[in-house]
Amino acid sequence: MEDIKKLARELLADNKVQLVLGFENGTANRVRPAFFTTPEAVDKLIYNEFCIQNIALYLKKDICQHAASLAITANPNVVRSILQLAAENQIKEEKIKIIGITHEGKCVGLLDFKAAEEFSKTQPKGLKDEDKALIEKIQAMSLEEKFDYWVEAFSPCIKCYACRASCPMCYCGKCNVESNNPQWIPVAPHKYGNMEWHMMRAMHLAGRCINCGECNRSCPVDIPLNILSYMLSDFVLEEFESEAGLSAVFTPALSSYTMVDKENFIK
Amino acid sequence: MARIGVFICHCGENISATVDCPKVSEVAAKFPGVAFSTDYKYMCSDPGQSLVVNAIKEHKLTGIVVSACSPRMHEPTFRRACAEGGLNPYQCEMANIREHCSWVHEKGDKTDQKAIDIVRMMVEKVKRNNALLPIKVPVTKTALVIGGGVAGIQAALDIANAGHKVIMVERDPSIGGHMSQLSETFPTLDCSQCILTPRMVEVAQNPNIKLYTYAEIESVEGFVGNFNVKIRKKAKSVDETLCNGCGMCTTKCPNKKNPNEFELGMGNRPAIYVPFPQAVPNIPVIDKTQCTYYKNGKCKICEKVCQPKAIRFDQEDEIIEVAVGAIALCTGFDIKKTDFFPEYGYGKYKDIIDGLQFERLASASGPTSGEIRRPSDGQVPKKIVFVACAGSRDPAKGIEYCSKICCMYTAKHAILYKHKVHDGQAYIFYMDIRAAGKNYDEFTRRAIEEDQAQYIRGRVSRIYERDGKLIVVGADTLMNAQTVEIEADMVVLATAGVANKGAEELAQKLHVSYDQHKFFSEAHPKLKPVETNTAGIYLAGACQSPKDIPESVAAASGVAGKIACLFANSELTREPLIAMVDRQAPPMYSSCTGCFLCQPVCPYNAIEREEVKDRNGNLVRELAFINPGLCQGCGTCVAVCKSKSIDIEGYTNLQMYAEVDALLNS
Repeated sequence: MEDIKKLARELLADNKVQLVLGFENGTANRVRPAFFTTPEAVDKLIYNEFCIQNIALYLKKDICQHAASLAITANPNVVRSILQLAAENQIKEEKIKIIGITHEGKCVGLLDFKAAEEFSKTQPKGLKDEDKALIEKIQAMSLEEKFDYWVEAFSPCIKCYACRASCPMCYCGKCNVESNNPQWIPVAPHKYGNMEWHMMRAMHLAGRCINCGECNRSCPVDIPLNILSYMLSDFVLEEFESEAGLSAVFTPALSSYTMVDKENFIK
Repeated sequence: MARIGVFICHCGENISATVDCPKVSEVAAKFPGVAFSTDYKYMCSDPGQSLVVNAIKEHKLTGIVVSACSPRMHEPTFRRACAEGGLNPYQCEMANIREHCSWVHEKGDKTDQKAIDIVRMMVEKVKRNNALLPIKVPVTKTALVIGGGVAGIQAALDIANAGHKVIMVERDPSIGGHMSQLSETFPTLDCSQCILTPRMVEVAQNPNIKLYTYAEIESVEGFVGNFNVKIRKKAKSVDETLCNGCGMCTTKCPNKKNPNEFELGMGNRPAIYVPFPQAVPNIPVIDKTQCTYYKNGKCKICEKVCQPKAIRFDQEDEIIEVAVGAIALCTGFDIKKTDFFPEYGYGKYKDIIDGLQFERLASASGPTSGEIRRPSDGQVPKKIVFVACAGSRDPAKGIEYCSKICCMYTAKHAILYKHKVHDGQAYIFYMDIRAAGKNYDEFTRRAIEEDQAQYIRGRVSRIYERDGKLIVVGADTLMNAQTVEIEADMVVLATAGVANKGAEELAQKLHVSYDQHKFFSEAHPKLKPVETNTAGIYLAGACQSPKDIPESVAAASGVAGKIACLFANSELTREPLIAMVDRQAPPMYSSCTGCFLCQPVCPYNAIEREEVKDRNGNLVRELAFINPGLCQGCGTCVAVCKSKSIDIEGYTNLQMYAEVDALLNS
């Protein structure tokens, strides 16, 4: 943790960045994301096993958008998010300094995008055993069973949109769900309205999701949204050999065509 | 408040025989927002149009729905009527109750209900129509002709004679294309070069035509009226401004044993060469892969003998940038070679040749000076077999189409053969004799009746060599599918015509569509046969599908006519039904997130990056911008935009949603 602090302090002291995005201690033994703007403030910066929130989310918020340059304490999930955001033209390499941190919490120093790409490859995305079991269970289902499973899984959704709010890839200024003319998605939390919302989100994330699992962690009713996007990522990888979050140069499967596309889903 | 007029057309009996038009009109009158509704026998007739114009004025309508045929037919008619009534022409919608209803259903309540639903959808749509203004685009009045075969030559000459500048790009060292390789042409048997070379010379001499030979298209950007094209002029190793075409270099070049492409490998040429005597321009090129100097660093004999000192060994490829307003694609075709056919020996028998090679044998300028002599030993073949449909119309070979020209040229070959080898016998294996065309059937009859060509209806299953003869094994389907075996001296395969080399890459550079055989696709098989789907790019000749000379020339003149029409105005007017990216006042600027995931999907390269800057010139946002000159309104970007920031004018999300809503909630 000390080397992370040292790096952050130096970056601010040398005026290399205006802002460091990381974690600090919150109340009642919780950690919370924090923005550090002076070398002194960095004393409060922490990084421990509780710092799992994907803070790449804040890169698209005003405070980061307005900063001329910034640094971020980045675990593998955050690194993948940054690369994907860069691929989608949402962040520029010259603006961001990535303080790379492994799954085990070891600081690997500053990463440029090239190094971040290498780093991403060595830090595979994690999946809990219970998630793996659930995926296997769902994959064994017939098409109808799968549909029923998800309708049921989405039914407790209260449309709080925490999944959207916590997702670093959900950066649209205006979300379709807020449009009421036309009203694409019904706002009331009923069974099929919920289905429409989650299907839309899943399709928008297909091939772009970096599988940090933040949607599931933030969901107050525990919908396994991470499983849905994980399965979609898997499908995209298998069908189109495309994986998000590994490179800052990327053409998503849904808006590209190559001669080697298998197109098995049409056949 | 919307005041919509609904006009139900009977289309004579086309609609009214199936749909109860007065009833549809009556029901439509009660739709919310409909101020006027009527039906009439022929809405597109003069009185019908007046009905529309007067109703707009009298009932102060804000939009109209003409419920009649497909918008493909009469949308322009009623847009004009709409404008005449004082409305924006885009406040008019067509409800198609003919092709979509009366023509495809039986008379009955359900059919009436469908017609009513269609009208209701369009009423809801037209309520949300915006007034649109046509888009004006400037036009660069220079045409680019790609390919210098007979189609390209014809197109270039016609455009140039209409008074416009033409840039012609030809891949080979000379223009002329396949036609310059032919001996005689069907159905008149006039010498191909005799009719082609005057036109080639005309191209060279026409002050409106700038000719780039030995050049290829590097890249094409821009849109109709305003293309920017980069041309790669390959190094000829000869200074064209100095060379006087004396031919000393080609005569003195010691390295003469290189396969001659123009003679299809049946003759040799030096490493520095002019493809054929009448080449235009008459300027040699050095084949760097063959030239002794380029290979070993020694020789330079051509440089020594060149009087005007035109040889340039250090010449490099040159990239020339040109601005053009229209492009004519005339890149021609290729044929399958004999090695395509395992059953005919994979090209290993020297005396099995293709149709184009026979043309060279029969040509006075060919390797045998016009005598029919077989390649293996130079003997005059006394028995010759022509195999039509070699590869064509053969789904097993992946070529299910008819190559169209082979029936005619095979008949021509048989005639030419008989004229040159009086005691010879020609056999022709064929599937059908397809000789549709002016004087075409007469020509094939002439081959049979006057020149004793023996036509055998059936396919050839195998050809093999035995004692210096080629044994052709086929079936005669008119003789009970009896096996026929002919001991031939030479066999000519009328191999399938296929897309030219590099057609696919070129199509991708130009963003024009092509079919599974890599032939370029026309915009409409009947009504737009020389247009491509990309505005401003046209096609003529065999790059579209196998074509004979008259067809290629006719298409080329058609292209020239189209381009002359395009160049007749200094500005182009385009339909404003194109995609637009949302724009708003600061600080939002737009709901576009600038992810540019729409960019790779655009088939027309119409999506650009627009930088939004603040007063101090600092970059605030990058947003997608759709070039109105390029966009064709296909809507693919609309489908991929996650924030739904792109809308097609005239087909906005709001309009589409209202239509679906009207249908589902009826």
